[in-house]
Amino acid sequence: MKTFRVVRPGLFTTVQDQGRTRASRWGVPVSGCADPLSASAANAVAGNGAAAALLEATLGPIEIEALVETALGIAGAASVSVNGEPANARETVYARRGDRVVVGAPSEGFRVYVAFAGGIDVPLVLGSRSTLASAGFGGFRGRKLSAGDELETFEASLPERRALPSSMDGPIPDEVRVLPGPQRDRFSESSLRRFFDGTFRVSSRSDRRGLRLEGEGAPPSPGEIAPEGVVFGAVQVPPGGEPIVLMPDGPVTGGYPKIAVVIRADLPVLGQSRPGRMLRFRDVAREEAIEAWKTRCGA
Amino acid sequence: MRPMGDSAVLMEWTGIPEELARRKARAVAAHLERQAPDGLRDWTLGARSLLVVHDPARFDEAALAREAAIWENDFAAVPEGALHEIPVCYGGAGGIDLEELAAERGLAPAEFAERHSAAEYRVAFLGFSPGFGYLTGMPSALASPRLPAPRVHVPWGSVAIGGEYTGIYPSSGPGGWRLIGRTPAVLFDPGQSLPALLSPGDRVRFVAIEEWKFAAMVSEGRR
Repeated sequence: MKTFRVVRPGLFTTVQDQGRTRASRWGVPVSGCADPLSASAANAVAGNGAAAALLEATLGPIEIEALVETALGIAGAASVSVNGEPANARETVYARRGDRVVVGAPSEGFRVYVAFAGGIDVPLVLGSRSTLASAGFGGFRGRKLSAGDELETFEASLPERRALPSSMDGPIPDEVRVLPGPQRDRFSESSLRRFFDGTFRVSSRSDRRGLRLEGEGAPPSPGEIAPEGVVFGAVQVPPGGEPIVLMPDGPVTGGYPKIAVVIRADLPVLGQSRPGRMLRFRDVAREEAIEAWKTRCGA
Repeated sequence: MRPMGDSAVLMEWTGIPEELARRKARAVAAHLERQAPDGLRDWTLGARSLLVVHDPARFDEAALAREAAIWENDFAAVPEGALHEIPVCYGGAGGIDLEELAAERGLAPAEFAERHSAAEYRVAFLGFSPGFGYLTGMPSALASPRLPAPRVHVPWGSVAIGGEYTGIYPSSGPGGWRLIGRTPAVLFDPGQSLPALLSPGDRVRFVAIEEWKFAAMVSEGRR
């Protein structure tokens, strides 16, 4: 059963879930939501578990038409309207057949998440419903959504009205916490000082594969290394000097030294960093990283 | 073992030949598959390393370190790699760099292609894009640096050289390796449970084919 039709798809809207584990051995990146925290909040508001597939809309706005009665959970949008009437963007939005829902641009971040009761039903590919647009598979036909696309959801009763947790209200930090990368010892004292004292601008050439950083703090590259597995959040320094923070669709192996790795609890900050935004890095102890992750999971 | 952030640990074997390092890495990976320790999320092979990605709240890194020291020598656990014969049409429109690379070495293009197809290769690891294998075993005289700036469009099936490695682009996209030929073989199919043709440890031989044969194989629906 088709649940909704895309009227205005926005800049780059794809179906994502928690991503692919156990496929990197074939060169397949993890994919999944760039901001997993907002995604699970949107799912909860739609009455779904955290693993349900939903829409990730870069910038926006997007507009959809409900083809049946449904409920939406939205995270990160500045505004929501149903048939032109403003709705509370922080609460479950109910739509009847024929209703037009407009999800506005992000209030502060870069990506808005839109979940539908039951979760989006697209085929599992290598264990996930996430789109890998660069390789043309997963999600809805392996690509970003276009006007006229009609998507299905799993059957579910309409959820009770819920609101986003208040923890989602705070400003997006301009500082991300990191641990030393495996090649930290290849960078000189002065390179490290430059990196940690520096403020970086998120380049407009950033995408779901990598966040490219511009700025005075770029450390000189200490050369290349034997290619090794990498993760979402690894900060690579290529010969050009401009650091690249790997994102969910980034390559699974890389031969550039990694000066730092963003802690798991701060990955959502990367997903919400739009081009032009300024970012700083701060070293923390491993204990603080794990504690921050546990706090986030408990929140 | 070196941490890569709070949710992954890199095991690297240095001071031994790369091929031996990779066998040890594959042996540890084979045991991880079998034992599926609590909190394991994924693993990725590298040129001389194994990256183990986990959930830090559940995974025991110290136990991995202890057990890996035993597993890494269990070569019997490593499956014998398959042998793939991959047809390649060298040069022409699908191998636009062949003439230049051959000329740099004072070779005719056909001689360069012969040397490339005479070697037996081994899949070291996968990366760059889905199904892209880094193949070792190329004669060192054929090694060629990558382009300083990648090409925007490299066609699917392009057989290429990047430094000491040779590889095949499974799908069209940007790429910085030098292109010497093209294969009609399907390297990656996400609809299969084993989506990549090449797995680490597999062996590869390139078999030269004529241009008409390439076209025939493509139209036969092998793509």
